[in-house]
Amino acid sequence: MLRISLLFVILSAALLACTGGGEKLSMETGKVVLLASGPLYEGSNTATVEWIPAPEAVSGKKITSARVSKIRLMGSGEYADLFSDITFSLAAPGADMRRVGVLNPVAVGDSIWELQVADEQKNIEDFFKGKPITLVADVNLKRDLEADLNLTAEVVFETENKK
Amino acid sequence: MKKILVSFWFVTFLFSVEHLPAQSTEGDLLVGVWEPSHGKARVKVEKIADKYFGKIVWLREPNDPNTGQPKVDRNNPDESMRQAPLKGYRLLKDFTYSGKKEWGNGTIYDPENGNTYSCVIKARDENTLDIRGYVGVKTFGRTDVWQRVTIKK
Amino acid sequence: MRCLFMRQLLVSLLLFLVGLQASAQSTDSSRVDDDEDYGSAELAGGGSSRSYASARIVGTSPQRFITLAFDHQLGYDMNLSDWGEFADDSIPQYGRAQRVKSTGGLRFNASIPVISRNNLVWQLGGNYWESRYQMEEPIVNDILAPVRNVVATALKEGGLRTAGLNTTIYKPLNAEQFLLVQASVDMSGDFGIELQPVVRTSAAVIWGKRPHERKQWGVGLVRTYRVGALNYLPVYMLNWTAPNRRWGFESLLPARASIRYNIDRNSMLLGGFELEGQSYRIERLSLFERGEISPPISFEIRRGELRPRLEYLRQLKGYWWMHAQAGIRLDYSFDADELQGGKEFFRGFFGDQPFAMINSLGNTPYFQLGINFVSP
Repeated sequence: MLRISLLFVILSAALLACTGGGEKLSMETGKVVLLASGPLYEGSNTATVEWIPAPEAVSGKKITSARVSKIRLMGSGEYADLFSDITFSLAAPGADMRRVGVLNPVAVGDSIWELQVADEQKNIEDFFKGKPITLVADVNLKRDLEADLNLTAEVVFETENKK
Repeated sequence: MKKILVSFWFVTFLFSVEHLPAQSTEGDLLVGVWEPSHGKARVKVEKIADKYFGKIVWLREPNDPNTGQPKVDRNNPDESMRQAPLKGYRLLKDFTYSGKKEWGNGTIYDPENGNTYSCVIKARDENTLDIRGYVGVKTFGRTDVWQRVTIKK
Repeated sequence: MRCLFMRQLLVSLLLFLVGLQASAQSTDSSRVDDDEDYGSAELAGGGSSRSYASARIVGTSPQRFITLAFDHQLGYDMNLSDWGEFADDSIPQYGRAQRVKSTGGLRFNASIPVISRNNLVWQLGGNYWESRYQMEEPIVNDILAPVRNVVATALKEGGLRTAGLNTTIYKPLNAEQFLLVQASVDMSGDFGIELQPVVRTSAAVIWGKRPHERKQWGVGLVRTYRVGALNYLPVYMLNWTAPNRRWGFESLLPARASIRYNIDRNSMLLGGFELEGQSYRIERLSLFERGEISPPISFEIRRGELRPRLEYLRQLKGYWWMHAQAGIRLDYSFDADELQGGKEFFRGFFGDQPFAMINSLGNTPYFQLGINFVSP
C-alpha cells in the first residue's frame, strides 16, 4: 500500500513538472524602420522591414503561444496629415500572414500612432521558428509623396514558452 | 596599352552587370496589377518574404453608399478588425510558386461575407489567371478569371 | 595586335551599350507598377472585363452540398380504399382506417460541383430518402378489401423509398441574366436490394435576372412529381434580402417558399412551406414479368405532401451547418394509379383518367433534424 502511494506521488510530481505552466515573456522589436521607396502616389502603399528576434529570446525555447500586445508607429512631422489609415501585418516563411493591427481613421496632426491590436490572433507563435519576420505596414496616403516613406515601429509581443 | 584595355574591360563589365535587369524567377509572373471578372476592384500582387501577396489598390465604388465613407471590412469575423479599410486590404496571402505557372498554399478573402478560402492560382498566359478558391478539396470551390491591368497609352 | 585590340574595343563598346539599354529598360515598364493611377489602367489583353450574374444573392440560406437528415412524422390515420376505377378522388371510398404510429427515415442529398466557374456552374447529385411506416397490424381478415391489406402490408414491411440522380446547370448570360436548368431521374417505390424497372423523370428550365446583389428572380416551366402524379407547371423564383440584411424571402413557387430572418451571420430562421412528392411503385401489385417485351402494369401510389414549417439553421463549425424543422405534414395525395405497360400518363388538374385507389392520410406534425456541408 505504501509502495503504491509512493509511486502515485512520484508519478503525480513528474506529471506536474511536465505540464506545468509555461514561462511568460515580453519581447520587443525595439525601434525598427519600415521603408516604402518613393516617389509614392496617393492611395495604397506598403512599407516593410525585416526583423530578427534576438537569439537569446528564442533559442532553446519552444514558444507555445504568442500575441502582439502593442503596435506603435512614429514618423516625421511632414506625415502629420499624410495617412488616412494604417494596417499592420506580420509575414514570414513558414507562417501565414497575419493582420495584427489597424488604425482607421488616422487623426490629423499626429506623428505617433498607436494601432488597434486585433482581438483574434491565430498562430502568432509560428512566426518564432527561427526565420526573419517581415513587419508590413499597408498605408493609404492622402496625397503623393516625392520622397521615401520611413516609419519607425515598436512592436511588443507577449509569448509563452515551454520550459 | 594592356593595362588600359584591362581597365576598360573591367569598368565596362561593372557597368553592364549593375544595369542588367534584376534576376526574376518564373514565379514573378504573378507580380503586377490584376482585375477580377466582376471589375469592381483591382488587386496588386507583390512579393514579401519570398511569398506572393495581393492587396486591393482600386475599387470601382470606393465608398459605402450607406455611410458615404470609404468601405471597410465590416463582415470580418473579428470585430476589432472591422474598421480595416478595403482599399489596401490583403485579399491574396501566402502564395508560393509551385512550378508550371501555378501558385498554391495561399488563401483568398471574400470581403462580401468575411470568409477566407484556400486558393490556387494558375496562369493561363502572361495576362490571364485562373483563381480558384475552395473549401477543403478543390471540388468545392469556384474559379474566377483575373486579367492583368496596364497603363492606358 | 592592332586587330586584336580593335576587336576587343568593339566588344567592350557593345557591352557598354547593352548595359545602357538594360538600364533604360529597367525603368521603362508598360505594366502598372508601384505608383500608377490604378483607376485609369486598362486590361492588358484588350477588351473589357466581363462580369457574370452570380448564382446567389447576399444573405440567403447556405447552399447545401451534402445533407444527412432524419425525418419523423407522428401518428395519423391512413384510409385506404379498395382497388377499382374511381373517376373522382374527392369522394371517399374507405373501409376501416389503418392507424399509423409514425412514419420516417433517413434522407441523404448530395450535389457536387463538376464545373464551378464564374460563367458556368454544373453540378451532379444524388439523393436517397426512406419512409418507414410503423403501424398496427393490417386488417388481414377483411376479405372484402385484399388490396387495401396488400398496400398496408407493403408499407409496413418495406416502407417507401426514392433514389435518384440529378443535375443542375447554372449559366449566367451576362451581368444580370441567367439560365437555370435542372433534371433528375428517380426510382421510387418499395424496392429492396433488387431495383425496380421503372424510373420517373423531372426537369425545370428557368430564365432569370439578378438586378443587384440582394435580389434574384426567374420564370420558367417544370415537369414535376411534387404533387404525386406527373404535372407540368409554370414556376416563379424569387430570392430577396432586405437592405439591412436581416430579413429575406426565398421561393421557388409552387414547390416552396420561406420568409427568412437572419439572426446573425451563423444562424437563421425560416418560416414557410414545401411541397414534396413522388410516384411510388408497389412491387407486389405491379405485374411485371421480367424478360417480357410489354410488362402488364405498374401500380403506383401518387404521394404528395404539403409541409408548412419553421426551420432553424445554425453553423456548427466551418462549413458544417445543422438544420431543424418542425411543422405539419398535410396530405395532398396518396391515391394510386395503374400505369399500363408502366408508362406514365398526364392527368394534370383537369384529366379524367380514373384512379385505381382513393386514399387519404390524416394530417400530423413532423420533425426533421439534419447536418449539412454547405457552400461558402
